[in-house]
Amino acid sequence: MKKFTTAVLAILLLATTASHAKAQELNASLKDAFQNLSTATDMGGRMNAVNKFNVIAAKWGNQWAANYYAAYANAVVSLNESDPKRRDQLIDVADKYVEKANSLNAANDETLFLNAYVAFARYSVDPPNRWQKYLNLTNAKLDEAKKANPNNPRIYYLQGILFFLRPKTYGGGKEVAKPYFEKADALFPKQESADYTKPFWGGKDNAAYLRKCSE
Amino acid sequence: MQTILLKRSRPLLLAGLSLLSVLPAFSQPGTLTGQIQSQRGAPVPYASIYLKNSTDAATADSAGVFSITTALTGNQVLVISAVGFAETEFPIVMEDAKTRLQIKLKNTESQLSPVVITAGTMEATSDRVLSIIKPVDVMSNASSTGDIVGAFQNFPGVQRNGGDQSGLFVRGGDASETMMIMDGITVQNPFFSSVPGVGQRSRFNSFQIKGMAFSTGGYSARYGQALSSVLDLQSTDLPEKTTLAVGANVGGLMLAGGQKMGNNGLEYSATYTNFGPYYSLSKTNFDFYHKPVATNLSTRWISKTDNGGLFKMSVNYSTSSSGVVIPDPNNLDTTIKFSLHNENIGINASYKAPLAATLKLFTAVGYSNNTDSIHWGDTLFHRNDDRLQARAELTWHASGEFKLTAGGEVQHYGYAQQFDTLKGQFGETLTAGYAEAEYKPLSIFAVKPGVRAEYSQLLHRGNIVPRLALALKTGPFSQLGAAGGMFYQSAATQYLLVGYRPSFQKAVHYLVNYEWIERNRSFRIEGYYKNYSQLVRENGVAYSPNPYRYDLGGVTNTGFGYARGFDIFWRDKASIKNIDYWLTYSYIDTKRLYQNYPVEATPDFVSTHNFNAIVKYYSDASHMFISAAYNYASGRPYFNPAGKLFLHDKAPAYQNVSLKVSYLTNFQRVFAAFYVNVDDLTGRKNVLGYRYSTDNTLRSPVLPPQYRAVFVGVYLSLSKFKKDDL
Repeated sequence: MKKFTTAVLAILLLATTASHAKAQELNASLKDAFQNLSTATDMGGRMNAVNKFNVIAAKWGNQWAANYYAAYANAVVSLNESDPKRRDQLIDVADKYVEKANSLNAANDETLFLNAYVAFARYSVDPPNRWQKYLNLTNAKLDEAKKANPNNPRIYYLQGILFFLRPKTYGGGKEVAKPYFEKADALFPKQESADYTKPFWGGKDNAAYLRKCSE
Repeated sequence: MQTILLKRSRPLLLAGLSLLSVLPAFSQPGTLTGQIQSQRGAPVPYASIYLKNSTDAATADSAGVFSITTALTGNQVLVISAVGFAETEFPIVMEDAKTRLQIKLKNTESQLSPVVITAGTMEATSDRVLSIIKPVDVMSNASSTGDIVGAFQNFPGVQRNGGDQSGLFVRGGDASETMMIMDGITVQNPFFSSVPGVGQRSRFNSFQIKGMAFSTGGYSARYGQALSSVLDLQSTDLPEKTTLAVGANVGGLMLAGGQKMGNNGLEYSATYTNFGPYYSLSKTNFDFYHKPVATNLSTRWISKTDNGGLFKMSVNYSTSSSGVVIPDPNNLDTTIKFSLHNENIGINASYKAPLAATLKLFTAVGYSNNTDSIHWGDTLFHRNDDRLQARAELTWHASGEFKLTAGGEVQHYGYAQQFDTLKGQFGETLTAGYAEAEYKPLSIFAVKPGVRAEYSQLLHRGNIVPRLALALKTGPFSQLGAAGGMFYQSAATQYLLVGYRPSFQKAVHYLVNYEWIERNRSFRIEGYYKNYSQLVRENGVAYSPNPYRYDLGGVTNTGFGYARGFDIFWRDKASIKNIDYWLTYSYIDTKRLYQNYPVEATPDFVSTHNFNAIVKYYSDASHMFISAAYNYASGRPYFNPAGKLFLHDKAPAYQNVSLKVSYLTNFQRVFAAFYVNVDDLTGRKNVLGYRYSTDNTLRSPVLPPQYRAVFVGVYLSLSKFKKDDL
């Protein structure tokens, strides 16, 4: 009996250790891919990072963070791409991961934000023809995310961008956007930045926008 | 216990750890190199290549070349994916993969261009990423004058209306052959009641329209009772935010707002129009002794339910009145005073919700009541109609390739009128059931068969009709389509009111189209043939152009006719910076023998050639939005009693240039749009036809209500920046 108990406990310990090791491995892989994305200066570098995220999502398909980052990476590269057809194709890929993230944790504020962010990327490809569906979807998902967690800085960061990009004529502009970036700026430092399975990105970009608003 | 565990488990742990750490050392790292290409051999840049179940991965360079280093050996699977291409798995034996690999990927069709059945239908929707037009495009062109129906006159297949008639005249059909639907419910009186010779605007609030599907033929089995066309409108969903807007123009005032309360929304609007001041300053071709005045009140309630359902309910009330001096329809040598007071109420509710993951429910109910009190000279003319209807349908999404919609509707409507001492009335209950499937056996092919059965309690008759639509993709952005079907419609109310009970009128549609839609350019050509039969005829009476005639002779279903032609649409948003333009051309050849026509003839509302050019320009820098339109319609036939052939003489061609300039700005955080709309910019004196005196010696032209018309207004959005956003 003792031998049996010991064997079971040993297996449990091994499993826990392996699980911890896997989490560590996921975190390390996300960190590596994220740093690749942050430092990429051209499309080759950005696609290299996107591909890494896609591979991570393929390997850890049942992990929310892996799908979250794959969707985020495809969307952010779409926003940096110039060919509209390619932009849409990247968002098609992002949508696939959004769907997976939704199935794993739909009510999470970060998932809701992700839905908003990818819709924003889709809208950005063709604003005159897409605002009615995708801009409204972006705003609706941001509202839901805010209800789930009003302290998520990325919500205010994206709201700031929406106002920043909107012509002054339509109630946008730097002055309107600035309080949103300021609010996000105050919230970003409160986020943990070592665990890559919990999104904390956006602080630097937000600061850059804030500077632009003050120019 | 802990010590024992550690002691006893150490060999196991060590074994596990050593296995994890030592495994890679058994094999020597190898390198795979290769190039990723498309099926045509072109390099695919930045593809992702990785070995399945590992993170050994690489990204191809801009020439598609990759190199991947791995310690894995034996049978492995290389997974290759690239944006715009299908993910491919490539089995490989590591030891054998010494040569440079060449891997070809298959293009995928992006969601931009899935096969969509479009034959016969122009859809203005925000839901599809790629559609020929969007709702905002419909409304923002100069010749729409802010009215949905006005906007659809710029569409291929629709006759240009010179302003003397209300309604949409589609592919040879008269206005009664087009049915208008709002959220699944037939709109009995889509237009404000009109005085003879003056076309009216539709009652729809353009700000409450989310999507429009305009069918010029071969429409869905969901609908019936329209020989030619269906305009299917969907109202907006839950408002995105709380809004308040006011507007003022030379014709009236408007207030509209919406309150968002979580998953509920309340919208309201009120408009007051009074053309008294405007017509005092602006010349009209009619003598309005009582200038048109109208009030419209509407409210909507929208709720999202926890199960993902959406409930909408709207109530609209409007009242209008006007008085005009017109030629007496019974004796064109004299004039009469014609005054009209109209009251209309419409209630519409719909609910859609998922019943299960693959099953959706849609239900709708509607009620409307419309009353016209008319003074025809000294004679009183009173008419009233109402309609109560309900629809329920289920849609089963069996898979991504197959869905089935089945439902039914019941409509009860009644008409009553009294002209002096002459009374007429009827009540009808129409019951219908329908089923329609949509099947996409291939990614490039879709088929939509449908069947509809109807029964008329008034006529004691029923019918069962088939419908069919197909689409075949011929390229990434192009497709061929075809549609057809049988369509029945009851006789016009003028016959039913006086006791005639002719059978259904019938039309059979055949149409084919080719469509090419790229992101910024689209082209569409559609050819059609429409065969009319069982049309209502008045036998034994001489022709009279008087729409209010009361001697209808012996009414039978012996009429017939045809319409054939083609429509072309071209839109280009890319060739000229900041310019978006459309060109449409329609050709039609149609004749019919119906009503009191003595012989088969082209009806007096048909122009053989219709051409529209719409140009829109927006400049961010100057905050200006400019839209211009040119409309051409070849001359319509008119009745010349002295003519050798019936309806053979033709009026001059109609031409119109209109311009709308909007200046967008904001005061503090209030958005403002100032606009000026000029119709008939060139001052062309269009003549739409002629009327003849009783002895045929005098003729007077049929004119549009106005020649050059200038309309000025402002729109203010008072929705303030909300601090509570932060």
